[in-house]
Amino acid sequence: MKPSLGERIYLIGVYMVLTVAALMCLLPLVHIVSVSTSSLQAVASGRVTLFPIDASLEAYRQLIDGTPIVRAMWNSAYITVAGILFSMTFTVLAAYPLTRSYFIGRRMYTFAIVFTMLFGGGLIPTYMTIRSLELINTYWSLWLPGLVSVFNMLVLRTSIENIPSEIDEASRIDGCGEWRYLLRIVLPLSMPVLATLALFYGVGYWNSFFNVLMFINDPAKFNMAVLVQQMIQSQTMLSQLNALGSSEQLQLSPEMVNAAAVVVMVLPMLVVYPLLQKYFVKGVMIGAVKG
Amino acid sequence: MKTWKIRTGTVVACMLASAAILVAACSNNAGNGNSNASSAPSKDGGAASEQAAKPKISVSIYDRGNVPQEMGTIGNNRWTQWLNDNGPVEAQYVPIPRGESVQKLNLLFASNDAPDVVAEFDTSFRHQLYQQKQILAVDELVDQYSVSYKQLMEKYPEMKKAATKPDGKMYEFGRVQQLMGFQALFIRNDWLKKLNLSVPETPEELFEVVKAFTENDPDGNGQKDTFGIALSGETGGAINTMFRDVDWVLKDGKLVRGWEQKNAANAFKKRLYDAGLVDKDFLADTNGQKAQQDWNSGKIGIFVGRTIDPVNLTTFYEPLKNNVPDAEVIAIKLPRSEYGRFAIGVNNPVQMTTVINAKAKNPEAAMKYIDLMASTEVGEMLRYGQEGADSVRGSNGCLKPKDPAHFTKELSWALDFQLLMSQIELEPCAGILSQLDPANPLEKDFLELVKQNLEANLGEGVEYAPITHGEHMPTLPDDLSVIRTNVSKVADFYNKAIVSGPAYTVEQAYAEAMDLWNKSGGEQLESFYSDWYDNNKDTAFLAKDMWKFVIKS
Repeated sequence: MKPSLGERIYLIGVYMVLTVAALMCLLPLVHIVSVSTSSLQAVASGRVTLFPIDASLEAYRQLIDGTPIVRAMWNSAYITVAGILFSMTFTVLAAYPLTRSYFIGRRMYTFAIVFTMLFGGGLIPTYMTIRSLELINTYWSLWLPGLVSVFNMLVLRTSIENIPSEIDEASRIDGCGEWRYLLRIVLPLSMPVLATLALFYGVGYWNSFFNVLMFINDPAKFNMAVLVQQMIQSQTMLSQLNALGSSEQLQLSPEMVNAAAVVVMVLPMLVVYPLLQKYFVKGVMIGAVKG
Repeated sequence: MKTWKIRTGTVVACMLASAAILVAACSNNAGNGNSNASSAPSKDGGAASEQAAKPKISVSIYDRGNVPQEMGTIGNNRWTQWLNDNGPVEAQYVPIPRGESVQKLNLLFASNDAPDVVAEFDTSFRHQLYQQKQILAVDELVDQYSVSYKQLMEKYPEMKKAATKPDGKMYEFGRVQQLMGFQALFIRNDWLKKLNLSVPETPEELFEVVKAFTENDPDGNGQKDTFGIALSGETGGAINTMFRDVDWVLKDGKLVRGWEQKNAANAFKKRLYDAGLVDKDFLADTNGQKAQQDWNSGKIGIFVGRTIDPVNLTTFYEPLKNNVPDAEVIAIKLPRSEYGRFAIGVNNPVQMTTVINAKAKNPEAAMKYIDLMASTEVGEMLRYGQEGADSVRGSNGCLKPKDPAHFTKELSWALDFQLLMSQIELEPCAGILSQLDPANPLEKDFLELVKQNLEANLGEGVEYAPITHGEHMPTLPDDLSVIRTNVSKVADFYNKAIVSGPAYTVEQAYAEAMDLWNKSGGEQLESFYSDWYDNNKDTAFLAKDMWKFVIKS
């Protein structure tokens, strides 16, 4: 059925708005990639807009040789992968019992867990807690506090509750126990939500900046977010303050190397997102609708 | 039967989970212990008996994320090992990320974890530590335990002046440099010649020159694509300096707010903007990057750069020469306005950087460490490296890097170890005049520019626009800090006046600014600064003290 004129105009309008929004997100990224693959001359003269001028991989070479980016990349990967494993395990283990109606005190536990979403202790008390647990300068200071995101857990819980009770009853009749039910039936059926949550956790751990900055002291353990921020910060601070000593200037990181670092940091997330996109769209919707 | 299975399974799972957590926590404690041991300088093998005798302290060091991987980390590398081997103490370095240094140090002080020796550029943060009594008064320490730092203080009594806090005691350590031209007013001399103009000496002449640069196609490409001057970044700041718009000025011996000067500076900027002589989008260029790029591609005639360090050559001169090989640049004095003739910008010759934590267990060791870092032998070593291996003596007898790539890899990132090194003691070799090589044509040109800028900033008839360098102005108490943040919005009124043409004039901006100033309690700021000046004008570190360090040529 051909759309009417009104509908066509509406569609055209929607497509235009979406295209503009998409371009607004895409163009800065294209610009950064171009800056990172252009020559120093072109960048310093401001000629680089959307396409690389005098293409060269010099920035990446300088990045790998002159900064500890490779080590930071491994650290980021380690934090992210281990973080996803821990977080997903405990999120599942937290969400599943809350869906079982025969779990005594279910209401109370749910309330207590949701209550923690309301406020936090602040930076200094958190730091002192982590310090007294002797987790400073270890990656546990990143994994333990953020182990289960209550929001994600509630999304998972809702999605498990949406599994029809007939399946539950049928499997019980066939002699299925709790663990088997969880592992063999609930989890496979919740694949979209699990993939979505893993992605959320993954992006969160990959980008974790403030926690690493505050709790990790050893620069050998820094992740990419902190490293890139340091590189860019030193350039920004330089142009702001006149009162800086001259020695500060020597630590200026050329714009190109910064751009290369940003590209390296963003690339893994860019690659992973489209692969999981089909789960992403399904997963968010399933968790959102109750009943 | 089924409940049994459920129960056992659950119990087993819980035990496994808690066992996993315990194992992880315990291994991390051991791992923590191990990593602590390994991050401390690793010389436990050799000369163990000597090491055992050295007192231990912790020292903060900036981490800028630029230490190449094979050199180690900023807290554990060739130079920390050298310092610990050859120094009187064993220092454990605590890396502090440069970008968030104040926040991280605040956190460490609040949880009693702060290092014994703390280095931080931010003067208001160090002042806050003083007010919270987190740092030690060091007069006796210097008297009893210091050798090289005490000698420096005797040679340069201004160091004590700058380090003394309102209670009369000395709290800070720092470094001394020669006073040099820091910022420079660069102008395209080839354009001046082409259009038959002379160097502008007054704001009116400056206006005419800028007009000619914009309208008469000085780069000869047939297009009107040049700007005479920039209003963003440090170039805009220099226009303010020309009219002495530096916020606090002396009038009849009292320190007052300079509104008249601010109005004059902004009126001039408005004239430039209305005549179309500058980039219309200068307000969007928040850090001056666009203006820098325009200068590099040869599209701006007058621009403020720097001449304090060899790296300024690669930032302000080399890109321009690459794009426009015939460009001729000179560094001129700021034009003389009705308020006087001022220096474009100079460095801070006496800069305080370091304090000692009040909770340091071994202040004597901390003082000895500071002494070590302030000595010339260590300063030379950390700046140039080992003579022979890292550096060689040039034709002028001064040390210079043996090989640029090697220098970048091994030494360029070690600058934060020089926060106590007084460069003035290494002169004439340490300054930029000795570091540039006249055999290289670009460096020869830049050397000329440095000399011209020295004359422009330090020569006859030029005075310093503010009463003292920003780092030596008093720190506001918290409540006044809030007022200052509120009144900083007056800058927005003036910017609006610059870009709004006839619809909004500088007088209107001034009226609104005064309104905001009075409503927010600006007169409290005025009385603070006025009282401070009255009480401290004989003891504070002011412009006349800065000029005692003028470079000896």
